[in-house]
Amino acid sequence: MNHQPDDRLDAYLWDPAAPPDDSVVEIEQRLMPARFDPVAHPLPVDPARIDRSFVRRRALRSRWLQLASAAALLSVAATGFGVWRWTWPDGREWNVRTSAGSHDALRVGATLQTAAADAALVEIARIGTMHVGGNTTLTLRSTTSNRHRLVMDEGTVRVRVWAPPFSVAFRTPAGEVADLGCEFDLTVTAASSRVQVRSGWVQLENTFGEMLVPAGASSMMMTGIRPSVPVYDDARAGFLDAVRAHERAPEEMEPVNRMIALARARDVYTLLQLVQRRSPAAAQLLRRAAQLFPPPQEGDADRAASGDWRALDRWRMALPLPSPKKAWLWNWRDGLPWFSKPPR
Amino acid sequence: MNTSPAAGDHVELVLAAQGGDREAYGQLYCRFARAVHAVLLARLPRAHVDDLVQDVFLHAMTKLRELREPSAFGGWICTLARRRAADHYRRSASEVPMPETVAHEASPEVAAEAAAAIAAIQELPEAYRETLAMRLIAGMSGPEIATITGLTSDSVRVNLHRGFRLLRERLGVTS
Repeated sequence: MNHQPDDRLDAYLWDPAAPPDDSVVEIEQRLMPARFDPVAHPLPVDPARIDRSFVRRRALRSRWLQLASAAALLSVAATGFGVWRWTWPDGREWNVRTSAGSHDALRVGATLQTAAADAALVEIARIGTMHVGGNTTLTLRSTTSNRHRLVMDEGTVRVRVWAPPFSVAFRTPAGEVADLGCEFDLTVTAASSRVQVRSGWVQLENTFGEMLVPAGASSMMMTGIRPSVPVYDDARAGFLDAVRAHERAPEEMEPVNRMIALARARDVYTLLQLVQRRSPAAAQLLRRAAQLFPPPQEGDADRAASGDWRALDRWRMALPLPSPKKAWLWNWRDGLPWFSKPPR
Repeated sequence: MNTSPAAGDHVELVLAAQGGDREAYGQLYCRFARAVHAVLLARLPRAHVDDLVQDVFLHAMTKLRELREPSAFGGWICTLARRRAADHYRRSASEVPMPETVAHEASPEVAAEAAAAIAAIQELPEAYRETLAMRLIAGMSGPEIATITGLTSDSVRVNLHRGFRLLRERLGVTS
C-alpha cells in the first residue's frame, strides 16, 4: 500500500506552504479568477447604512441648521414640488442629449461611452444634470428616489445636484465620490479620482478613509491610499505642493515650513485636517492655525495638540464653512428650471 | 499589504476600528475580505458575491462596537456573512448586479472553468463547501480555517480530505 500521494495531498491541503500536490494545484489554478482581491475592490461606503456617530460626522452637525433644514423641507413639502422632484420610479431610464443633438436614454445597467470629441448632457432623474466630457465611460447602476448610483471608469463629468446629501454617488476605481448637495467636476482615471467642488460639499471615501471637500476646494483620491486633504483652489502658489509633499513624507520639515509660511485664514481647514490625520507636525500646524483663525475656546489649540478631538471638532465647526444640509436646500433657486446655470 | 487573516495580531486593529479609526477598519477589510468572500461564494451565485462582501463589512462597521471580544473578529464577521447569505434569498434586491463587462474578467475559457469549479464546490455536501472555498479560493491554511470557523483542526482536516476527493472526482481531475 502506498500512502505517499495521499500524504502529500493532505499535507498541501493543510498547509499551502508545503510541497504542492498536482491535483490541488490544478483546481487552485482553475479557481484563481474567482479569488477576491480586496485592494481591487475597495470598501465603498453607503452612507445611508452607516452609523453616523461612528464615522464622526460631528463636524457637519448643527442643531440650528437641522432645524432650518427641517423647516425648509416642510415648506417645500407643502407645495408638493419637492415630492414630485425627488420621487423617481425604480429603474426608470435617464434622458441623455448628445453633442450631436440626438436624444437617447440611459438605462440601469447600461454604459454611456463618449469618444474624444463627444459630449453629452444627462438628466439625473429630476434632481440635477451631468455634463459628460469626451473619453468618458460610466454605467448607471441603480436609480430610485433619493438614491442614484453610477460606476465611472474614466473621463470627466460636471455634476449639479439639488437633493439631500448622498443622493448621487459614483463608484470609481479609486473609491466612492458622493454629493452632499452641490456642483462639482470629477475627473477619473484607472488610478485616481479628482474633484473640484463648485458649490456645497463632496465626500471622497475609500477603504482607507474619508474626506469632505468644501466649495472652492479640490482633492484627489488614489487607489490604495486614503483621500488627500482638500486644498482651496485659490491657495497661494506653492501651498498645494507643500500639502501634498507633507502627505507623502510627513516626517520632513521643509514642506511643513512652507505650509506655515503660505497658509491663509481660509487654509485653516486644510491644516486642521492634517492635524486630525495625526501629522507629526501637529503642534506647529495648530500654532499657525491659531494665529490665522483662533479656536472658539481658549486652550482648544493645546487640547487639540494633546489629542482631544472634541476641541478639534469645535474649532473646525467654527470655521466659516457651509453646511451640506444648508447648501443644497438654501440654494433653493437651483431647483427651479429658470434659475438653471449654463455650463461654464 | 498583509491579507492573511491569521497573520499578526488583529486585536489592536479591531480596538482602533471600534474607536472610529477608518484606516484600521480598512486593514481589517483587507485581511478578512477573502474569508468572507469564501463563506459567501460557498453559498451564493458569484455575480452577487463581490457586492455582498462589501455589504457584510459595511453592516459589520455599524455593529463593531457590539463585538466584546476583539480576538473573535474573524469568527464574528464570518457569522455575519453566513446570515447575509441566508438573508439574500429572502430580500428583493433593489440594485441591478454589476454587469460582467464592468469587472475585469479573465478570458472566457478561464472564466468558464472557474465557474464550473465553483459550481462543483457549491454542489458538495454543506460540511465541505466553506472549508474548501476558504482553502482553494481564499488560499487560507488549515489552522487559519480552524481559527476563523471555530472548527477543530481534526474536523478541518477531514473536511478538506473528503471534500477535495469529491471535488476532484466531479471535476474529472486525475490524482
